[in-house]
Amino acid sequence: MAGFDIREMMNDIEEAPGKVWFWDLEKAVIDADRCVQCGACVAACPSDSIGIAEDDLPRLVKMCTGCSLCWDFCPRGGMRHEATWKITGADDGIDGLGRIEESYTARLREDVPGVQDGGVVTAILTSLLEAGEIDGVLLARESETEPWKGETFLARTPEEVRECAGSFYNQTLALGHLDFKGYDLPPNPRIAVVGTPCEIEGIKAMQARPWNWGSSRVEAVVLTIALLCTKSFNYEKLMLQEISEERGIDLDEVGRVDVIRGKLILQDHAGETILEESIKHFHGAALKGCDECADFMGRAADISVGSVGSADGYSSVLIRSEEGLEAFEHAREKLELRELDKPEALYKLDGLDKRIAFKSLKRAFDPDAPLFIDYEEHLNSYAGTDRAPVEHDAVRY
Amino acid sequence: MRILRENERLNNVERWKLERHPLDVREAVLEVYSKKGVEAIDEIPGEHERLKWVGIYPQNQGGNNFMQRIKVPGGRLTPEQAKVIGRIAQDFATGPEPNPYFGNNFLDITTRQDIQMHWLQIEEIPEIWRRLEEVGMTTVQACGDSARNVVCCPVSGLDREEAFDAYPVARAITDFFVGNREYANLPRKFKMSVTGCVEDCAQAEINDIGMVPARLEDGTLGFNVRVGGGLGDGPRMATDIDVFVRPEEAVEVARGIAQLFGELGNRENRWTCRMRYLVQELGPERFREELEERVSIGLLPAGEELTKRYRGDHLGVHEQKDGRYYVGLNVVVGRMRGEDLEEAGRLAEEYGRDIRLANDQNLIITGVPEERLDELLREKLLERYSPNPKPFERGVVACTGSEFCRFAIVETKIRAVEWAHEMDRRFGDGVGQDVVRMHFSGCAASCAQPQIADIGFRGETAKTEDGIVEGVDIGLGGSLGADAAFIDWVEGARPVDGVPDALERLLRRFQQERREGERFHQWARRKPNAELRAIIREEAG
Repeated sequence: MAGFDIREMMNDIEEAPGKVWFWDLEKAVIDADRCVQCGACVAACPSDSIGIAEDDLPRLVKMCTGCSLCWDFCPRGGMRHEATWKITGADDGIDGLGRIEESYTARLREDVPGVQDGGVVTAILTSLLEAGEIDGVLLARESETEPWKGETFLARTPEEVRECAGSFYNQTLALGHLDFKGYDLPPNPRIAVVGTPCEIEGIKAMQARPWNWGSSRVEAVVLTIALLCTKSFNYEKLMLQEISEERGIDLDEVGRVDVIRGKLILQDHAGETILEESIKHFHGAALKGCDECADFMGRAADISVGSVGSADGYSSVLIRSEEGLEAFEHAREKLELRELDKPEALYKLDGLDKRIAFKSLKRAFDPDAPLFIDYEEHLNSYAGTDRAPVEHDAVRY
Repeated sequence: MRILRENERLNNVERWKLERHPLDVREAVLEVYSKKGVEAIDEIPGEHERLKWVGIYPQNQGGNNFMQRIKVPGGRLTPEQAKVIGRIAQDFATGPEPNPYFGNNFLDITTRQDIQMHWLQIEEIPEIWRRLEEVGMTTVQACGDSARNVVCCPVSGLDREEAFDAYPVARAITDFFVGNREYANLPRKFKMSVTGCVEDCAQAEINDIGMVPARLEDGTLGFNVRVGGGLGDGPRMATDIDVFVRPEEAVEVARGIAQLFGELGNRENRWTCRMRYLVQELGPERFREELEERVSIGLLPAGEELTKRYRGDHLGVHEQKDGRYYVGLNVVVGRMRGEDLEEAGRLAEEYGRDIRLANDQNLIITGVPEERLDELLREKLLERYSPNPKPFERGVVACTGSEFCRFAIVETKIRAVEWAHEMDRRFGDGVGQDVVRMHFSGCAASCAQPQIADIGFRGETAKTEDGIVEGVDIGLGGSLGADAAFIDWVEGARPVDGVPDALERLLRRFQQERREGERFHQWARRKPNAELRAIIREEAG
């Protein structure tokens, strides 16, 4: 009897309507295998009571005070992720691609080794750092100990940004690192964040509702860049089991990982393809919670970037806000720009992504509904489904 | 202390405690941190946790800003000790800006008869300790996973009705545990309560150990033992384990229970490791058996209980058993200026004997001869801290809140005072009872004991169309005593702005519906929660 459930055996107190604790989030999202590892719960906790466990999932590290914010800002829990689209002014309903001020097919004019697709994100970030417009960028870089595992890093120089060029396909709980602990920064830092749409949704939702976020410096984020994303993967399942064990590929030999036109492509350090296989073969390694996301486009971001919709070697860029336009101006001269090659490809993949989401979501999808979903409301939608909260002694530590 | 629990995985705090004994932090403060500054604390993993063993918590402002808790066993202070503590607050508890309501250089009386002060800097701690130790006081184990302040009836030795004076027992238990390295690493905080009074003033029901007065058939006086009470986010009323303890055996039984807790308590999950969870797991019979194996005395079955009722405070003027008087002063939400505690020490010296702190956050001056009572009652200090408060200001209790605490979700102290005054203004003396207990905790930790109040508040976030605002869960119908029961949390996450009107609606309805002699908590209990919720939400006519 080591679990949290023992609490309920000790008294007959009626709990407040709508009361949510971290262990409710644990049962409904983490233990139900629906966590997308965005780190919003870590960022939102005012008492810094939520940390990151060795299994890369959120865990309680201090007392839960019952403030409910971890639930409120979880994109698979209390945060209706599609309701964040309105925060940045998207008003084109379910079928559109969100607010778009400008859109391009683009690539860097100069050759920067290691960049993904057109290197647009690298261009924007290095330009902003060079111009002194930002003090750092929260992004992913390769772990020093685990090959091809992305981990959160705060790059503070253009060189550090370039060193981090390229994509990783696991989530890094980026928002769990908004405390910028261990980095020297000026008193009121201005930080850009490059992340998945769910991470950007969390930041925007929190910024729209100011609160004391403990040591997380949510207000420091001045620019968000979303990477177009249909799903993220569990590192162990994808890189270690599927690629290393099942297919016998030495991860140290891998020089590049890409997901293009429905295929997972691995190249060696010389640029030779060593694996090209339908991404569908790897769906078992994907995060189950990603299925419920209908935000392939990153509609809450200032800028969305990805390979879909542009020729190989180029990136599609969708600029969504004033902040995005200002940031992009700094990089404009570094980029070769043209009209989007294939906007229809974006619509197509966005439509597919939404169809999967509508099928996986156990609640109504409604961008116009309130942002927050009560736990009871979640239970009404999810109880009895294959994504129902897990009823057991929810203690993993 | 051995760890006997099977399949035990240790949490981080447990590992830190094993890496270095937490009591070693005292020497480190004296020799290193007070000289090198707070950065030196950051260099040692787990050291901020160990600081709790000398009563020090970091404030939520971070940096070189600390809260320090002073242990006051049984709540008893000599005039000299009171003056020294008041002086310390004036000299050191200086914030960068005065609190808009309480000013600066204040201290807080807690619900465990301790005193806390804020805005202390690490380099000041040795001097503070020196002054405290000079008058026989300590901050050792005021916090941390060990024996906390032993609470006792604040008027022990004075009360005309008490079965016996239990303060010496509380003192002996304190003396056994303070600085005792063997028992200073328990799975979690360890709260003990001892009283010889018949009014459960020491709140046995909500302590890890509660010793309450009892009598054997041959007339021997001692204690019956309850274990496993507590509040927090897993409230539990203590369990009677059918044990009678003679006063001279109380230390041994407390030690045995601490050993039992240390050996069998949960050291893996920090959120289910208080002793009440162990009592719940073992059950009273098995707990008693395990205790019997660990103590050097035979355990007698419980004697006749002598507790008659619950008394929530000791305000006003009351005759002592020696013919003198004690005067209970209302320190609203327990916060007073350092200079005022110093003045209280002076008054105790001039008019009476000593000062007692009560777990309702109030203060008592004892030993006043009848002929000097009027003179004392005319003292200026008693204008600010009234012995005869209005019902709501009399019953209000509040934790530290978000002003300093890293866990609190909302501000508590100022808000609780304002709400109490507002209710007193709206109701005058017409609420129908001499005290209405409103307890306001800034989070689920229950430091203000909301579960035993008429009206309990628990800090929450509330979502409005405009964003997130400070809110409270509202609980109704708690009390200790013959009809002891915790509140039900009737409503959740109400924005604070609407609370006074909601309270007024509740209290008006209580006035309309109350039966002869019925008190608010009794009315709230017999009323369905859905109806109470509707009144709070103004959905009811």
